[in-house]
Amino acid sequence: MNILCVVQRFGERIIGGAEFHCRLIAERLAEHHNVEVATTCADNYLTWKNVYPEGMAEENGLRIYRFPVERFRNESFDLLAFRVLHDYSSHSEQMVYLESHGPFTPKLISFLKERTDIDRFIFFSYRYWNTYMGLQAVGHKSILVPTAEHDRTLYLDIHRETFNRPAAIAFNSVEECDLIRHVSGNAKVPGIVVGVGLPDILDTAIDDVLTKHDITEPYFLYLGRIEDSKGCSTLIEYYLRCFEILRNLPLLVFVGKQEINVPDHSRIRILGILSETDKQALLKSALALIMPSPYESLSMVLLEAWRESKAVLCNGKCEVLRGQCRRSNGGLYYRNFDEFFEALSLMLHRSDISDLLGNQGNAYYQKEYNWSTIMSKYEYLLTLDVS
Amino acid sequence: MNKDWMNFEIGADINVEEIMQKIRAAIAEKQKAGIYTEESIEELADSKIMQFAEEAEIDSALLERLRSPDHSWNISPSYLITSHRTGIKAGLIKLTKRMVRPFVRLYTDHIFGRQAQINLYFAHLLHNLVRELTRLQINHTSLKHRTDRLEREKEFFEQRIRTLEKMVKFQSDGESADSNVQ
Repeated sequence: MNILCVVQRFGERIIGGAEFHCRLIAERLAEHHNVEVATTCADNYLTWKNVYPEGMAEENGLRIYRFPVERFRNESFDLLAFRVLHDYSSHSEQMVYLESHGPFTPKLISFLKERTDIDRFIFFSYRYWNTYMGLQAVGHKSILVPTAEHDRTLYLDIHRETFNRPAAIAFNSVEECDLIRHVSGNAKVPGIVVGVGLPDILDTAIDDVLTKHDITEPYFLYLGRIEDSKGCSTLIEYYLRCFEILRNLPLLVFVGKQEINVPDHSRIRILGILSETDKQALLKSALALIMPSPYESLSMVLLEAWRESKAVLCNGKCEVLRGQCRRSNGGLYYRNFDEFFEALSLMLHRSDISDLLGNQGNAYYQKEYNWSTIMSKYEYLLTLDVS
Repeated sequence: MNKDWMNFEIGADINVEEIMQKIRAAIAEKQKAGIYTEESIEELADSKIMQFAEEAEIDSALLERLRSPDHSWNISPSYLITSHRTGIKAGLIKLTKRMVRPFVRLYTDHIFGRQAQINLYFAHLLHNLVRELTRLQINHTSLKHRTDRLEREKEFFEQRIRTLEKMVKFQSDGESADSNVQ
């Protein structure tokens, strides 16, 4: 089957949930199909500045077509976004917003229309201009992987079209599926909960990594971009409040790109961006993983923790994270400081509970997120009769 | 810090919801004892604000905006210039609107700005009043519990005093009876 994956950015240097998701799926699909990728030349989802050269390239056995972004965000974008997302806005205003949001790549859309040889298009991430326009052009033979979070963008009227256009939808979680079905009323579009697996495990020497980063005591771990929108400020505030009550609190180690100021404190350690091997080693020896993000469509970091049989403590205000914890019985969740404090204390006081949660999480991960299950679901979606 | 609630038995499997219930029960116990964090007071105040809004039957979308941390609910002198038309007409209309806007805003910005400040001030004032009211209600309930407990203790001590007095009286009656016998 000829498959073309469409995504807003693509490349090994690109850090982003949907982009990484696309890469993993495209590489696995390429084992049995002829897979290509259409994307932009941008590497930054805010500026959309063209960085990669335009045209065709080969990466990890995949043929990549890159198209230049033709319009960049200007100063009025924030005002426009605020107005459209927070107020009642018309269809034309929402379209102006979507164009400004980008990536505005008309050449990519023309390319999709020209590719009549393609049997299935797979679009990743619903919120971008290229997905909306791409689905308008070739929606009838497309699969959408929405990677939708419960934020204001989801409620824009134009995205009802986005969710009603594709031939099928591959949801990331039960919560995402319920949310999209509810908001867009797209019950007639076939769809199943698929999710994504993880890249293969690399060999890691844990002690070497711990020594390299000078970690000599127990710690909780956070993995991901260290920014406000990921709930990191609240996590730091809660953790320091816990320190006022529990003086023997373990370290809280952050791994990821730092976008916010973090207070200099004896119990907080920022390691910055690390290699996959270092991240895995740190995860293996952590007490538990803390995931404070309020918006997720599927947390791959949670899956990584469960692969290592580690319990998780996550933000219960995010329906997806709460749902993942409940279904797996692999972690606790919190919706306020009191719950955070008690859950953290329980994990510290009862390591047997923490271990059992981690093992249950691992069993869930092995059952639901192994690659053969994931890919058989994709095969099912690819073979759906879309005529 | 009370860790007693953490000492429960577990089997071969563990249910996250059951643990969460235990966590919530432990928090409820603390709150019964009058131990509230700033956040739980905020939550109670928030639910009170929600209750007022529901009674007033406010549009849910507006309510969501009123409760959001940004000030998107407030009036603002800034606005976008758009047109539902397309092509040259749209361009001309937008250009005209852009030319007229500075003159309009010369007269309206000051008024809108002041009104926005007043709105913000009242919203801040009312929110803090509800929060203070909640705090006072919690203090009031806590003091009431304490008074009740003191009242019960007082009754118990009075009863104890009466019993002791009776015992002393009984003993002294017994002693005087003995001395009469001797």
